[in-house]
Amino acid sequence: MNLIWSTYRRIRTGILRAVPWSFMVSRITTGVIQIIIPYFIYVFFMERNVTDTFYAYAGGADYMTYVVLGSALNVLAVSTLMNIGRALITELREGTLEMLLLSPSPRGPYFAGCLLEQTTRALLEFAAVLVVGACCGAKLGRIFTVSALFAIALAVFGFFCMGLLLSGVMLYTRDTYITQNTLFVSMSLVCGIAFPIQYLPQWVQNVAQIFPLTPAVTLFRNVVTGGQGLLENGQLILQVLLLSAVYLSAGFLWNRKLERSLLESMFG
Amino acid sequence: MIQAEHLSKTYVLKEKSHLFGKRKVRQISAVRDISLEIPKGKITGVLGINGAGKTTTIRMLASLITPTSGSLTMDGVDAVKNHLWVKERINMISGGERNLYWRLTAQENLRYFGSLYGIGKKELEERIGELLKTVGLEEAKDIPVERYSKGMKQRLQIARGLINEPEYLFLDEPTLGLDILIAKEIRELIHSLAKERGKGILLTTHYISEAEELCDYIYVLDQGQIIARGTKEELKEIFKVKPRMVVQEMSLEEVLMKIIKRSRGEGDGKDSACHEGGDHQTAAV
Repeated sequence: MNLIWSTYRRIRTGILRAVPWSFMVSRITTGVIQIIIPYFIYVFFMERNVTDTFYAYAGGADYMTYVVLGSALNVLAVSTLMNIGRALITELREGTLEMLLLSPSPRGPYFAGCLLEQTTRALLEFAAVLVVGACCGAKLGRIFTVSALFAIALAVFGFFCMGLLLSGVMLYTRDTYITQNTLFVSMSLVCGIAFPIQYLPQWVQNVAQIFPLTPAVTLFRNVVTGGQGLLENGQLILQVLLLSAVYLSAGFLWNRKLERSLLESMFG
Repeated sequence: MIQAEHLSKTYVLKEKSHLFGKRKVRQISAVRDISLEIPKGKITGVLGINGAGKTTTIRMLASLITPTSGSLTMDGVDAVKNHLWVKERINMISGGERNLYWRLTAQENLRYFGSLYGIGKKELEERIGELLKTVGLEEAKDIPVERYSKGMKQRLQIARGLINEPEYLFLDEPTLGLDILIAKEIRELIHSLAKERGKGILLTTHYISEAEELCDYIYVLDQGQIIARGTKEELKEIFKVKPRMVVQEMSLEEVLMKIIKRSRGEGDGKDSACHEGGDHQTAAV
Protein backbone atom coordinates (compact mmCIF):
# COMPACT_ATOMS: atom_id res chain seq x y z
CA MET A 1 0.00 0.00 0.00
CA ASN A 2 2.90 2.27 0.86
CA LEU A 3 4.44 1.81 -2.58
CA ILE A 4 1.10 2.42 -4.33
CA TRP A 5 0.66 5.68 -2.48
CA SER A 6 4.26 6.83 -2.87
CA THR A 7 4.21 6.06 -6.63
CA TYR A 8 0.97 8.03 -6.89
CA ARG A 9 2.50 10.99 -5.04
CA ARG A 10 5.73 10.86 -7.01
CA ILE A 11 3.98 11.01 -10.39
CA ARG A 12 1.40 13.57 -9.28
CA THR A 13 4.02 15.90 -7.77
CA GLY A 14 6.14 15.68 -10.93
CA ILE A 15 3.19 16.49 -13.18
CA LEU A 16 1.96 19.38 -11.07
CA ARG A 17 5.44 20.92 -11.01
CA ALA A 18 5.88 20.46 -14.77
CA VAL A 19 2.47 21.65 -15.90
CA PRO A 20 0.66 23.20 -12.92
CA TRP A 21 -2.56 24.32 -14.64
CA SER A 22 -2.14 23.92 -18.40
CA PHE A 23 -2.45 20.18 -18.00
CA MET A 24 -5.90 20.50 -16.44
CA VAL A 25 -7.03 22.90 -19.18
CA SER A 26 -5.75 20.50 -21.82
CA ARG A 27 -7.63 17.57 -20.29
CA ILE A 28 -10.90 19.45 -20.01
CA THR A 29 -10.61 20.97 -23.49
CA THR A 30 -9.99 17.53 -25.00
CA GLY A 31 -13.08 16.21 -23.26
CA VAL A 32 -15.23 19.12 -24.41
CA ILE A 33 -14.10 18.90 -28.04
CA GLN A 34 -14.75 15.17 -28.15
CA ILE A 35 -18.43 15.95 -27.66
CA ILE A 36 -18.80 19.27 -29.45
CA ILE A 37 -17.71 17.88 -32.85
CA PRO A 38 -20.20 14.96 -32.94
CA TYR A 39 -22.87 17.30 -31.55
CA PHE A 40 -22.45 19.70 -34.50
CA ILE A 41 -22.49 16.79 -36.96
CA TYR A 42 -25.58 15.30 -35.33
CA VAL A 43 -27.53 18.56 -35.04
CA PHE A 44 -26.53 20.47 -38.18
CA PHE A 45 -25.66 17.76 -40.72
CA MET A 46 -27.86 14.88 -39.63
CA GLU A 47 -30.60 17.17 -38.26
CA ARG A 48 -31.02 14.75 -35.36
CA ASN A 49 -32.02 11.91 -37.71
CA VAL A 50 -30.59 8.41 -37.47
CA THR A 51 -31.67 5.24 -39.24
CA ASP A 52 -33.83 2.59 -37.66
CA THR A 53 -30.95 0.16 -37.79
CA PHE A 54 -28.95 2.52 -35.56
CA TYR A 55 -31.74 2.51 -32.99
CA ALA A 56 -31.86 -1.26 -33.19
CA TYR A 57 -28.08 -1.64 -32.76
CA ALA A 58 -27.89 1.04 -30.06
CA GLY A 59 -30.68 -0.47 -27.99
CA GLY A 60 -32.98 2.48 -28.57
CA ALA A 61 -30.49 5.15 -27.45
CA ASP A 62 -30.34 8.48 -29.20
CA TYR A 63 -27.13 9.35 -30.99
CA MET A 64 -25.80 11.92 -28.50
CA THR A 65 -26.25 9.59 -25.54
CA TYR A 66 -24.61 6.82 -27.56
CA VAL A 67 -21.58 8.96 -28.48
CA VAL A 68 -21.17 10.54 -25.05
CA LEU A 69 -21.08 7.19 -23.25
CA GLY A 70 -18.70 5.75 -25.83
CA SER A 71 -16.38 8.76 -25.75
CA ALA A 72 -16.38 8.87 -21.95
CA LEU A 73 -15.23 5.26 -21.68
CA ASN A 74 -12.79 5.73 -24.54
CA VAL A 75 -11.18 8.57 -22.56
CA LEU A 76 -10.58 6.19 -19.68
CA ALA A 77 -9.29 3.49 -22.04
CA VAL A 78 -6.80 5.76 -23.79
CA SER A 79 -5.56 7.35 -20.54
CA THR A 80 -5.13 4.04 -18.75
CA LEU A 81 -3.47 2.24 -21.63
CA MET A 82 -1.21 5.18 -22.35
CA ASN A 83 -0.08 5.82 -18.79
CA ILE A 84 0.30 2.23 -17.68
CA GLY A 85 1.82 1.27 -21.01
CA ARG A 86 4.50 3.92 -21.00
CA ALA A 87 5.25 3.98 -17.26
CA LEU A 88 8.43 1.92 -17.55
CA ILE A 89 9.63 3.42 -20.81
CA THR A 90 9.25 6.87 -19.22
CA GLU A 91 11.45 5.68 -16.36
CA LEU A 92 13.95 4.52 -18.98
CA ARG A 93 13.92 7.87 -20.74
CA GLU A 94 14.24 9.82 -17.50
CA GLY A 95 17.12 7.59 -16.39
CA THR A 96 15.42 6.11 -13.34
CA LEU A 97 14.52 2.64 -14.62
CA GLU A 98 17.78 1.10 -13.49
CA MET A 99 17.22 2.19 -9.90
CA LEU A 100 13.65 0.90 -9.96
CA LEU A 101 14.80 -2.49 -11.22
CA LEU A 102 17.69 -2.54 -8.78
CA SER A 103 15.25 -2.36 -5.87
CA PRO A 104 13.44 -5.46 -4.64
CA SER A 105 10.04 -3.78 -5.02
CA PRO A 106 7.32 -5.77 -6.78
CA ARG A 107 5.88 -4.35 -10.01
CA GLY A 108 2.23 -4.83 -8.99
CA PRO A 109 2.04 -1.97 -6.44
CA TYR A 110 4.15 0.20 -8.73
CA PHE A 111 1.67 -0.18 -11.59
CA ALA A 112 -1.24 0.19 -9.18
CA GLY A 113 0.22 3.55 -8.09
CA CYS A 114 0.48 4.60 -11.74
CA LEU A 115 -3.13 3.50 -12.25
CA LEU A 116 -4.37 5.43 -9.23
CA GLU A 117 -2.64 8.61 -10.36
CA GLN A 118 -3.71 8.46 -13.97
CA THR A 119 -7.30 7.46 -13.13
CA THR A 120 -7.77 10.52 -10.93
CA ARG A 121 -6.57 12.66 -13.85
CA ALA A 122 -8.57 10.81 -16.48
CA LEU A 123 -11.75 11.11 -14.40
CA LEU A 124 -11.51 14.86 -14.90
CA GLU A 125 -11.68 14.41 -18.66
CA PHE A 126 -14.33 11.71 -18.20
CA ALA A 127 -16.42 14.14 -16.14
CA ALA A 128 -15.92 16.90 -18.75
CA VAL A 129 -17.25 14.58 -21.47
CA LEU A 130 -20.29 13.68 -19.40
CA VAL A 131 -21.08 17.26 -18.33
CA VAL A 132 -20.75 18.66 -21.85
CA GLY A 133 -22.62 15.62 -23.17
CA ALA A 134 -25.48 16.23 -20.75
CA CYS A 135 -25.58 19.88 -21.87
CA CYS A 136 -25.81 18.66 -25.47
CA GLY A 137 -28.80 16.51 -24.69
CA ALA A 138 -27.35 13.14 -23.70
CA LYS A 139 -29.57 11.25 -21.27
CA LEU A 140 -27.28 10.24 -18.43
CA GLY A 141 -29.76 9.87 -15.59
CA ARG A 142 -28.53 6.42 -14.57
CA ILE A 143 -24.83 7.29 -14.55
CA PHE A 144 -24.66 7.35 -10.73
CA THR A 145 -26.15 3.91 -10.17
CA VAL A 146 -24.12 1.10 -8.61
CA SER A 147 -24.31 -0.84 -11.90
CA ALA A 148 -22.86 2.05 -13.90
CA LEU A 149 -20.08 2.64 -11.38
CA PHE A 150 -19.30 -1.09 -11.41
CA ALA A 151 -19.14 -1.02 -15.21
CA ILE A 152 -16.68 1.90 -15.07
CA ALA A 153 -14.49 0.17 -12.46
CA LEU A 154 -14.54 -3.09 -14.41
CA ALA A 155 -13.61 -1.28 -17.60
CA VAL A 156 -10.68 0.50 -15.93
CA PHE A 157 -9.48 -2.84 -14.57
CA GLY A 158 -9.62 -4.33 -18.06
CA PHE A 159 -7.69 -1.39 -19.54
CA PHE A 160 -5.14 -1.67 -16.75
CA CYS A 161 -4.50 -5.35 -17.50
CA MET A 162 -4.11 -4.63 -21.19
CA GLY A 163 -1.80 -1.74 -20.31
CA LEU A 164 0.55 -4.13 -18.50
CA LEU A 165 1.07 -6.10 -21.69
CA LEU A 166 1.41 -2.89 -23.65
CA SER A 167 4.10 -1.79 -21.19
CA GLY A 168 6.22 -4.80 -22.12
CA VAL A 169 5.64 -4.20 -25.83
CA MET A 170 6.64 -0.54 -25.53
CA LEU A 171 9.74 -1.37 -23.54
CA TYR A 172 10.71 -4.15 -25.90
CA THR A 173 10.24 -2.09 -29.04
CA ARG A 174 11.29 1.13 -27.26
CA ASP A 175 8.51 2.81 -29.13
CA THR A 176 5.54 4.72 -27.81
CA TYR A 177 4.17 6.53 -30.84
CA ILE A 178 3.33 3.68 -33.19
CA THR A 179 2.35 1.35 -30.36
CA GLN A 180 0.01 3.67 -28.54
CA ASN A 181 -1.31 5.87 -31.32
CA THR A 182 -2.00 3.09 -33.81
CA LEU A 183 -3.66 1.05 -31.11
CA PHE A 184 -5.81 3.88 -29.81
CA VAL A 185 -7.03 4.97 -33.22
CA SER A 186 -7.80 1.37 -34.15
CA MET A 187 -9.68 0.85 -30.91
CA SER A 188 -11.78 3.96 -31.36
CA LEU A 189 -12.68 2.72 -34.84
CA VAL A 190 -13.57 -0.88 -34.08
CA CYS A 191 -14.79 -0.90 -30.47
CA GLY A 192 -18.10 0.89 -30.97
CA ILE A 193 -17.27 4.35 -29.67
CA ALA A 194 -18.99 6.59 -32.23
CA PHE A 195 -21.08 4.04 -34.11
CA PRO A 196 -22.29 0.47 -33.55
CA ILE A 197 -19.73 -2.15 -34.58
CA GLN A 198 -22.46 -4.02 -36.45
CA TYR A 199 -21.81 -1.65 -39.35
CA LEU A 200 -18.31 -3.10 -39.67
CA PRO A 201 -17.38 -6.30 -41.56
CA GLN A 202 -17.81 -9.44 -39.51
CA TRP A 203 -14.09 -10.16 -39.26
CA VAL A 204 -13.45 -6.67 -37.88
CA GLN A 205 -16.21 -7.22 -35.33
CA ASN A 206 -14.46 -10.43 -34.31
CA VAL A 207 -11.11 -8.66 -33.95
CA ALA A 208 -12.81 -5.97 -31.84
CA GLN A 209 -13.69 -8.61 -29.24
CA ILE A 210 -10.05 -8.88 -28.11
CA PHE A 211 -10.17 -5.33 -26.73
CA PRO A 212 -11.75 -4.99 -23.26
CA LEU A 213 -13.21 -1.69 -24.46
CA THR A 214 -15.70 -3.47 -26.77
CA PRO A 215 -17.62 -5.45 -24.13
CA ALA A 216 -17.04 -2.72 -21.51
CA VAL A 217 -18.64 0.02 -23.58
CA THR A 218 -21.61 -2.21 -24.45
CA LEU A 219 -22.05 -3.02 -20.75
CA PHE A 220 -21.81 0.66 -19.84
CA ARG A 221 -24.47 1.61 -22.38
CA ASN A 222 -26.73 -1.27 -21.38
CA VAL A 223 -26.80 -0.19 -17.74
CA VAL A 224 -26.99 3.58 -18.38
CA THR A 225 -29.32 3.83 -21.36
CA GLY A 226 -30.98 0.44 -21.31
CA GLY A 227 -31.55 0.47 -17.56
CA GLN A 228 -30.35 -3.12 -17.33
CA GLY A 229 -28.87 -4.71 -14.26
CA LEU A 230 -25.51 -6.42 -13.98
CA LEU A 231 -27.01 -9.91 -13.92
CA GLU A 232 -28.52 -9.36 -17.34
CA ASN A 233 -25.04 -8.59 -18.64
CA GLY A 234 -23.20 -11.52 -17.14
CA GLN A 235 -21.73 -12.53 -20.47
CA LEU A 236 -20.21 -9.10 -21.08
CA ILE A 237 -18.80 -8.98 -17.54
CA LEU A 238 -17.33 -12.44 -18.02
CA GLN A 239 -15.78 -11.38 -21.30
CA VAL A 240 -14.08 -8.35 -19.68
CA LEU A 241 -12.86 -10.52 -16.81
CA LEU A 242 -11.52 -13.22 -19.13
CA LEU A 243 -9.73 -10.71 -21.32
CA SER A 244 -8.34 -9.04 -18.19
CA ALA A 245 -7.08 -12.36 -16.86
CA VAL A 246 -5.36 -13.14 -20.15
CA TYR A 247 -3.75 -9.70 -20.44
CA LEU A 248 -2.80 -9.64 -16.75
CA SER A 249 -1.14 -13.06 -16.87
CA ALA A 250 0.56 -12.39 -20.19
CA GLY A 251 1.72 -8.94 -19.05
CA PHE A 252 3.15 -10.09 -15.74
CA LEU A 253 4.71 -13.28 -17.05
CA TRP A 254 6.16 -11.60 -20.09
CA ASN A 255 7.49 -8.65 -18.12
CA ARG A 256 9.01 -10.90 -15.49
CA LYS A 257 10.61 -13.21 -18.00
CA LEU A 258 11.85 -10.48 -20.24
CA GLU A 259 12.79 -7.89 -17.64
CA ARG A 260 16.39 -8.96 -17.46
CA SER A 261 16.78 -9.59 -21.16
CA LEU A 262 15.17 -6.20 -21.76
CA LEU A 263 17.77 -4.69 -19.49
CA GLU A 264 20.46 -6.44 -21.44
CA SER A 265 19.11 -5.17 -24.73
CA MET A 266 18.98 -1.68 -23.23
CA PHE A 267 22.33 -1.62 -21.53
CA GLY A 268 24.22 -4.23 -23.44
CA MET B 1 31.55 -11.17 1.14
CA ILE B 2 30.46 -11.10 -2.48
CA GLN B 3 32.27 -13.78 -4.41
CA ALA B 4 32.19 -14.10 -8.18
CA GLU B 5 33.77 -17.13 -9.78
CA HIS B 6 34.38 -17.54 -13.48
CA LEU B 7 31.66 -15.07 -14.43
CA SER B 8 31.05 -14.56 -18.12
CA LYS B 9 28.49 -12.50 -19.95
CA THR B 10 27.65 -12.80 -23.61
CA TYR B 11 25.14 -10.42 -25.12
CA VAL B 12 23.06 -11.70 -28.00
CA LEU B 13 22.26 -8.87 -30.36
CA LYS B 14 19.55 -9.21 -32.97
CA GLU B 15 19.96 -6.73 -35.77
CA LYS B 16 18.00 -5.93 -38.90
CA SER B 17 19.56 -4.09 -41.80
CA HIS B 18 16.16 -2.67 -42.80
CA LEU B 19 12.50 -3.06 -41.81
CA PHE B 20 11.81 -6.27 -43.71
CA GLY B 21 15.39 -7.50 -43.70
CA LYS B 22 16.52 -10.79 -42.27
CA ARG B 23 17.43 -10.64 -38.62
CA LYS B 24 21.10 -11.18 -37.93
CA VAL B 25 22.14 -12.59 -34.60
CA ARG B 26 25.45 -11.40 -33.24
CA GLN B 27 27.10 -12.46 -29.99
CA ILE B 28 29.30 -10.11 -28.02
CA SER B 29 31.38 -11.43 -25.19
CA ALA B 30 31.40 -8.50 -22.77
CA VAL B 31 32.96 -10.26 -19.78
CA ARG B 32 34.98 -13.49 -19.82
CA ASP B 33 35.78 -15.74 -16.91
CA ILE B 34 36.30 -13.18 -14.21
CA SER B 35 36.63 -14.07 -10.55
CA LEU B 36 36.64 -11.45 -7.85
CA GLU B 37 35.79 -10.82 -4.23
CA ILE B 38 34.24 -7.86 -2.45
CA PRO B 39 34.86 -8.15 1.29
CA LYS B 40 32.98 -6.04 3.82
CA GLY B 41 34.82 -3.01 5.13
CA LYS B 42 37.08 -2.86 2.08
CA ILE B 43 37.07 -0.87 -1.13
CA THR B 44 37.63 -3.04 -4.17
CA GLY B 45 38.52 -1.26 -7.37
CA VAL B 46 37.77 -2.32 -10.92
CA LEU B 47 39.84 -0.35 -13.39
CA GLY B 48 39.91 -0.39 -17.12
CA ILE B 49 39.46 1.72 -20.18
CA ASN B 50 36.07 2.32 -21.84
CA GLY B 51 34.53 -0.93 -23.07
CA ALA B 52 36.68 -3.05 -20.76
CA GLY B 53 33.59 -4.66 -19.21
CA LYS B 54 33.40 -2.69 -15.95
CA THR B 55 29.74 -1.71 -16.22
CA THR B 56 28.64 -5.20 -17.27
CA THR B 57 30.54 -6.60 -14.29
CA ILE B 58 28.84 -4.18 -11.90
CA ARG B 59 25.41 -4.95 -13.35
CA MET B 60 25.96 -8.68 -12.95
CA LEU B 61 27.17 -8.25 -9.39
CA ALA B 62 24.14 -6.03 -8.67
CA SER B 63 21.76 -8.71 -10.02
CA LEU B 64 20.52 -6.40 -12.75
CA ILE B 65 21.57 -8.82 -15.45
CA THR B 66 22.14 -12.56 -15.30
CA PRO B 67 25.59 -14.00 -15.97
CA THR B 68 25.83 -16.36 -18.94
CA SER B 69 28.01 -18.66 -16.86
CA GLY B 70 29.86 -18.76 -13.57
CA SER B 71 28.71 -18.45 -9.98
CA LEU B 72 27.93 -15.46 -7.83
CA THR B 73 27.36 -15.62 -4.09
CA MET B 74 26.70 -13.06 -1.40
CA ASP B 75 27.55 -14.13 2.14
CA GLY B 76 27.33 -17.73 0.91
CA VAL B 77 23.90 -17.33 -0.70
CA ASP B 78 23.46 -17.93 -4.44
CA ALA B 79 22.99 -14.37 -5.69
CA VAL B 80 21.62 -15.35 -9.11
CA LYS B 81 18.78 -17.49 -7.76
CA ASN B 82 18.06 -15.18 -4.82
CA HIS B 83 18.34 -11.86 -6.60
CA LEU B 84 15.52 -10.26 -4.61
CA TRP B 85 17.30 -11.12 -1.35
CA VAL B 86 20.47 -9.64 -2.83
CA LYS B 87 18.70 -6.46 -3.95
CA GLU B 88 17.65 -5.73 -0.37
CA ARG B 89 21.30 -5.71 0.68
CA ILE B 90 22.94 -3.77 -2.10
CA ASN B 91 22.69 -0.44 -3.82
CA MET B 92 24.40 1.32 -6.68
CA ILE B 93 25.59 4.87 -7.20
CA SER B 94 26.50 5.99 -10.69
CA GLY B 95 28.27 9.10 -11.81
CA GLY B 96 26.33 11.61 -13.88
CA GLU B 97 22.97 13.15 -13.33
CA ARG B 98 20.58 10.28 -13.97
CA ASN B 99 18.87 8.02 -11.45
CA LEU B 100 16.98 10.84 -9.75
CA TYR B 101 13.56 12.38 -10.30
CA TRP B 102 14.45 15.93 -11.25
CA ARG B 103 11.08 17.48 -10.52
CA LEU B 104 11.04 16.15 -6.98
CA THR B 105 12.96 17.61 -4.07
CA ALA B 106 15.78 15.72 -2.34
CA GLN B 107 13.44 14.74 0.45
CA GLU B 108 10.73 13.54 -1.95
CA ASN B 109 13.27 11.54 -3.95
CA LEU B 110 14.54 9.81 -0.83
CA ARG B 111 10.99 9.14 0.38
CA TYR B 112 10.16 7.47 -2.93
CA PHE B 113 13.32 5.42 -3.15
CA GLY B 114 12.87 4.41 0.50
CA SER B 115 9.36 3.19 -0.27
CA LEU B 116 10.79 0.94 -3.00
CA TYR B 117 12.63 -0.88 -0.21
CA GLY B 118 9.53 -1.13 1.96
CA ILE B 119 10.98 1.00 4.77
CA GLY B 120 8.40 2.09 7.38
CA LYS B 121 7.39 5.76 7.44
CA LYS B 122 8.89 6.69 10.80
CA GLU B 123 12.16 4.88 10.18
CA LEU B 124 12.36 6.34 6.70
CA GLU B 125 11.93 9.91 7.90
CA GLU B 126 14.67 9.44 10.49
CA ARG B 127 16.97 7.90 7.90
CA ILE B 128 16.28 10.68 5.39
CA GLY B 129 17.16 13.30 8.01
CA GLU B 130 20.44 11.55 8.81
CA LEU B 131 21.38 11.04 5.16
CA LEU B 132 20.65 14.63 4.18
CA LYS B 133 22.90 15.70 7.04
CA THR B 134 25.62 13.25 5.99
CA VAL B 135 25.70 14.52 2.41
CA GLY B 136 25.21 18.17 3.38
CA LEU B 137 21.87 18.75 1.69
CA GLU B 138 19.78 19.62 4.74
CA GLU B 139 19.22 23.20 3.67
CA ALA B 140 18.43 22.23 0.07
CA LYS B 141 16.09 19.37 0.94
CA ASP B 142 12.95 21.16 -0.29
CA ILE B 143 14.39 22.40 -3.59
CA PRO B 144 13.54 20.41 -6.74
CA VAL B 145 16.56 18.47 -8.01
CA GLU B 146 16.42 20.22 -11.40
CA ARG B 147 17.77 23.32 -9.66
CA TYR B 148 20.68 21.47 -8.08
CA SER B 149 24.28 21.78 -9.21
CA LYS B 150 26.05 18.67 -10.49
CA GLY B 151 27.79 18.20 -7.14
CA MET B 152 24.53 18.45 -5.20
CA LYS B 153 22.92 15.87 -7.49
CA GLN B 154 25.84 13.53 -6.92
CA ARG B 155 25.57 13.98 -3.17
CA LEU B 156 21.89 13.20 -3.38
CA GLN B 157 22.73 10.10 -5.41
CA ILE B 158 24.93 8.99 -2.53
CA ALA B 159 22.10 9.54 -0.07
CA ARG B 160 19.81 7.56 -2.39
CA GLY B 161 22.36 4.77 -2.56
CA LEU B 162 22.42 4.55 1.23
CA ILE B 163 18.65 4.75 1.78
CA ASN B 164 18.30 0.98 2.33
CA GLU B 165 21.44 0.82 4.49
CA PRO B 166 23.10 -1.56 2.03
CA GLU B 167 25.78 -3.95 3.11
CA TYR B 168 27.44 -3.66 -0.28
CA LEU B 169 27.67 -0.60 -2.50
CA PHE B 170 28.54 -0.48 -6.19
CA LEU B 171 30.02 2.82 -7.23
CA ASP B 172 30.24 3.38 -10.97
CA GLU B 173 32.37 6.46 -11.65
CA PRO B 174 30.97 8.28 -8.60
CA THR B 175 33.05 11.42 -9.08
CA LEU B 176 32.57 11.70 -12.84
CA GLY B 177 32.57 15.33 -13.93
CA LEU B 178 32.74 16.78 -10.43
CA ASP B 179 35.03 19.61 -9.39
CA ILE B 180 38.02 18.79 -7.23
CA LEU B 181 36.49 19.95 -3.96
CA ILE B 182 33.27 17.97 -4.30
CA ALA B 183 35.19 14.96 -5.63
CA LYS B 184 37.44 15.09 -2.57
CA GLU B 185 34.43 15.28 -0.23
CA ILE B 186 32.86 12.31 -1.96
CA ARG B 187 36.09 10.31 -1.77
CA GLU B 188 36.25 10.99 1.97
CA LEU B 189 32.65 9.84 2.33
CA ILE B 190 33.34 6.64 0.37
CA HIS B 191 36.35 5.96 2.58
CA SER B 192 34.33 6.40 5.75
CA LEU B 193 31.52 4.20 4.45
CA ALA B 194 33.95 1.31 4.13
CA LYS B 195 36.19 1.91 7.09
CA GLU B 196 33.76 3.27 9.68
CA ARG B 197 30.49 1.70 8.61
CA GLY B 198 31.90 -1.60 7.37
CA LYS B 199 30.32 -1.58 3.92
CA GLY B 200 31.79 -3.65 1.12
CA ILE B 201 32.40 -1.27 -1.76
CA LEU B 202 33.11 -1.94 -5.40
CA LEU B 203 34.45 1.13 -7.16
CA THR B 204 34.97 1.67 -10.85
CA THR B 205 36.72 4.84 -11.89
CA HIS B 206 38.69 6.39 -14.68
CA TYR B 207 40.65 8.46 -12.19
CA ILE B 208 43.67 6.36 -11.30
CA SER B 209 44.65 8.69 -8.46
CA GLU B 210 41.21 8.09 -6.96
CA ALA B 211 41.69 4.33 -7.11
CA GLU B 212 45.14 4.68 -5.62
CA GLU B 213 43.80 6.79 -2.77
CA LEU B 214 40.80 4.62 -1.95
CA CYS B 215 41.15 1.02 -3.07
CA ASP B 216 42.39 -1.75 -0.84
CA TYR B 217 42.47 -4.17 -3.73
CA ILE B 218 42.35 -3.59 -7.46
CA TYR B 219 41.26 -5.64 -10.45
CA VAL B 220 42.35 -4.46 -13.87
CA LEU B 221 39.98 -5.33 -16.70
CA ASP B 222 40.65 -5.25 -20.40
CA GLN B 223 38.52 -6.65 -23.20
CA GLY B 224 36.29 -8.34 -20.64
CA GLN B 225 39.04 -10.17 -18.82
CA ILE B 226 40.95 -9.57 -15.63
CA ILE B 227 44.50 -8.93 -16.71
CA ALA B 228 45.95 -8.02 -13.32
CA ARG B 229 44.93 -7.99 -9.68
CA GLY B 230 46.39 -7.07 -6.34
CA THR B 231 46.93 -4.29 -3.87
CA LYS B 232 48.40 -1.14 -5.33
CA GLU B 233 51.78 -2.21 -3.98
CA GLU B 234 51.43 -5.64 -5.60
CA LEU B 235 50.44 -4.08 -8.92
CA LYS B 236 53.48 -1.84 -8.82
CA GLU B 237 55.55 -4.92 -8.05
CA ILE B 238 54.51 -6.48 -11.37
CA PHE B 239 56.93 -4.20 -13.16
CA LYS B 240 59.35 -4.16 -10.24
CA VAL B 241 58.82 -0.47 -9.83
CA LYS B 242 61.34 0.70 -7.32
CA PRO B 243 60.64 3.75 -5.20
CA ARG B 244 62.68 6.68 -6.32
CA MET B 245 63.03 10.11 -4.97
CA VAL B 246 61.90 12.82 -7.31
CA VAL B 247 61.38 16.48 -6.90
CA GLN B 248 58.00 17.29 -8.32
CA GLU B 249 56.48 20.66 -8.75
CA MET B 250 53.12 21.08 -7.08
CA SER B 251 50.34 20.22 -9.52
CA LEU B 252 47.87 22.85 -10.61
CA GLU B 253 45.11 20.83 -8.91
CA GLU B 254 46.89 21.11 -5.58
CA VAL B 255 47.53 24.80 -6.09
CA LEU B 256 43.87 25.35 -6.87
CA MET B 257 42.81 23.45 -3.76
CA LYS B 258 45.07 25.61 -1.63
CA ILE B 259 43.78 28.83 -3.18
CA ILE B 260 40.15 27.84 -2.60
CA LYS B 261 40.80 26.72 0.95
CA ARG B 262 42.70 29.91 1.77
CA SER B 263 39.95 32.12 0.36
CA ARG B 264 37.38 30.19 2.41
CA GLY B 265 39.50 30.49 5.52
CA GLU B 266 39.65 26.71 5.90
CA GLY B 267 42.89 25.97 7.77
CA ASP B 268 46.03 27.57 6.43
CA GLY B 269 45.46 26.40 2.89
CA LYS B 270 47.95 23.58 3.27
CA ASP B 271 46.74 20.33 1.74
CA SER B 272 47.63 17.06 3.38
CA ALA B 273 49.12 15.87 0.12
CA CYS B 274 51.60 18.73 0.18
CA HIS B 275 54.69 18.93 2.24
CA GLU B 276 55.49 21.82 4.46
CA GLY B 277 56.94 24.63 2.51
CA GLY B 278 54.17 24.13 0.02
CA ASP B 279 56.06 24.73 -3.17
CA HIS B 280 57.08 21.21 -4.01
CA GLN B 281 56.48 17.69 -2.84
CA THR B 282 58.47 14.54 -2.59
CA ALA B 283 56.67 11.50 -3.88
CA ALA B 284 57.35 7.85 -4.41
CA VAL B 285 56.72 6.96 -8.03
